[in-house]
Amino acid sequence: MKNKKASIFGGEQVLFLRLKKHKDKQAFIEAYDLYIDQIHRFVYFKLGNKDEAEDVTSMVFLKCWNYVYEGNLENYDTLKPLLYKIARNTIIDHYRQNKNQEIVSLEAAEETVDEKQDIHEQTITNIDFKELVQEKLPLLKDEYRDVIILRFINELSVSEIAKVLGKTSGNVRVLVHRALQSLQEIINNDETEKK
Amino acid sequence: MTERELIKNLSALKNIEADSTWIKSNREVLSYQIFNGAEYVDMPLRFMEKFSLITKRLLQPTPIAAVIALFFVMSGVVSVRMAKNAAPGEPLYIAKSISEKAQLVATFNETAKAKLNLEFAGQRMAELEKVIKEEPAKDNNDPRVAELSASFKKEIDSVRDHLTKVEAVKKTINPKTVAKDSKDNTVVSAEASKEEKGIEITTPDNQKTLAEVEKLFDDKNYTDAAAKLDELGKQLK
Repeated sequence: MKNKKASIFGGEQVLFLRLKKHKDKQAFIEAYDLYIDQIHRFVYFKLGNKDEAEDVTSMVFLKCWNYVYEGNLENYDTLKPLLYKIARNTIIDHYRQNKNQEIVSLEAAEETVDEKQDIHEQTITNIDFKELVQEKLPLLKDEYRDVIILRFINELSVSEIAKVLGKTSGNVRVLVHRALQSLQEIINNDETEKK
Repeated sequence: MTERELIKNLSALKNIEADSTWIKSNREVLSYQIFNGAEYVDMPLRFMEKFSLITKRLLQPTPIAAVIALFFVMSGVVSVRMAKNAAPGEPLYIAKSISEKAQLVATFNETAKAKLNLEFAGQRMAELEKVIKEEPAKDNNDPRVAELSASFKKEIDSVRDHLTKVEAVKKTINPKTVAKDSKDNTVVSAEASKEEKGIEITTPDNQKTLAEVEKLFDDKNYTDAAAKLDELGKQLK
C-alpha cells in the first residue's frame, strides 16, 4: 500500500525536491496523502485519543506547510523526519495546553482522573493487543514510547529515527533495545499479576 | 510474551489507519489553507509591507516639507509659464500682470526697471496685434484693444520716468565727474553705482526714440514700433 502510493507520486525524494525547489502546493497535498496515516498513527498512540489525534495531526501538516513555504528544508532530504519532529513538538504543546486547562478546576481534574481510571480498568479487561499497547505505552519514558512507535509500529529505519530525535544511529539502537525491554517487562508483569 | 511476539504484535498495529472520512475532509481543509490561505496571507502582507514603507517614508518631516516646497515651486513655475502666453481676457492674464508687477517690485535698479518696462511694452504690442488679427472687424470696438493700448502707453511712460530718474541721479551725485561725449551724447558718471557704470544713457535720443515708438504705435505700425523698442533696449545695456 505504502509502496504503491510512493510509486504513484514519483517517490518521496522527488516529492521533497518539488517542495524544496518550487514550494509546490500540489506536491504537499500528495505528501499529505503519503504520510497522513503514519503521522496520525504516531500521534494517536502518543495521545491515546482519536479526536485529539485528528486535531493535532491537522495542525502538524499545516505547520509543516509553513516550514516548506518559508524554505526551511535545508537540513532534510525527505519530508518524513520533519513531519515527525513537528508532530513531537505539537504533542508537547498539546500536553502543556491541556495541563493548563486542568489546573483551572481541581474538581474537574479529579473527575478526569476518575474517568481515565475507569477506561484503564475497562481496557485491561479486554485482551486486545492494541488496547494493551495503548494502555502500557504511557507508562514508558517519553523517549522509549517514541522509538517503539517509530521503529515497530510505523517501521522507520534507525537512521530515520535518528534524524527525528536528533541522535546518532548508535544511540537510537540502544534506545530501541531498552524501550522494547521496558515494554516487554511491563506487559509481562501485568500478565503475571492477572494470573 | 517473548520479544519476538511483542515485535510481531507491534508490527501488526501499522494497519491501523485514520478514519477515511476525516482524511478526506482534512485534505480539503488543508488544500483550502494552502491554495487560498497561503496566497491570502502572502499578497496582503506584501502589499501592507510596501504600503507601510511608503507611509513611513512619506510621514517623515523632511520629505513632507520637500514635497510641499516642490509642489509650490512647480505650481508657481507652471502657472507663470502658462500665464506668459496668456492673452487678454483669459483667466491667467491676471497672473501675468501680477508676475510683471512682482518683477518690477523686485528690481531696484532704475535702468533695469526701464528695460523691464520696455519688454512689457513690447509684449502689450504683440498682444494687441494678436487680438486685432483674431477679430479684425472688431478692431475699434474690442475693449481689449483699448485696454492694451492704454497699458502700452503706461509702460512707455514708465520707461521715460525711469530714464529721467537715472539722469537726475547722475547729475546730483557729482556734476564735475559727468562727462559729455560729443558723438553719442553718452553721460557717464565715475561715481555712479557699479551697476550703472558703463551703462549708456542717451537721454535726449532715448526720449526721442520713445516718442517715435509712440507715434508708430498710434499709426498702428507695430512692426516698426517693435523694431524701435528693440533698438532702445539694446542701447540700455
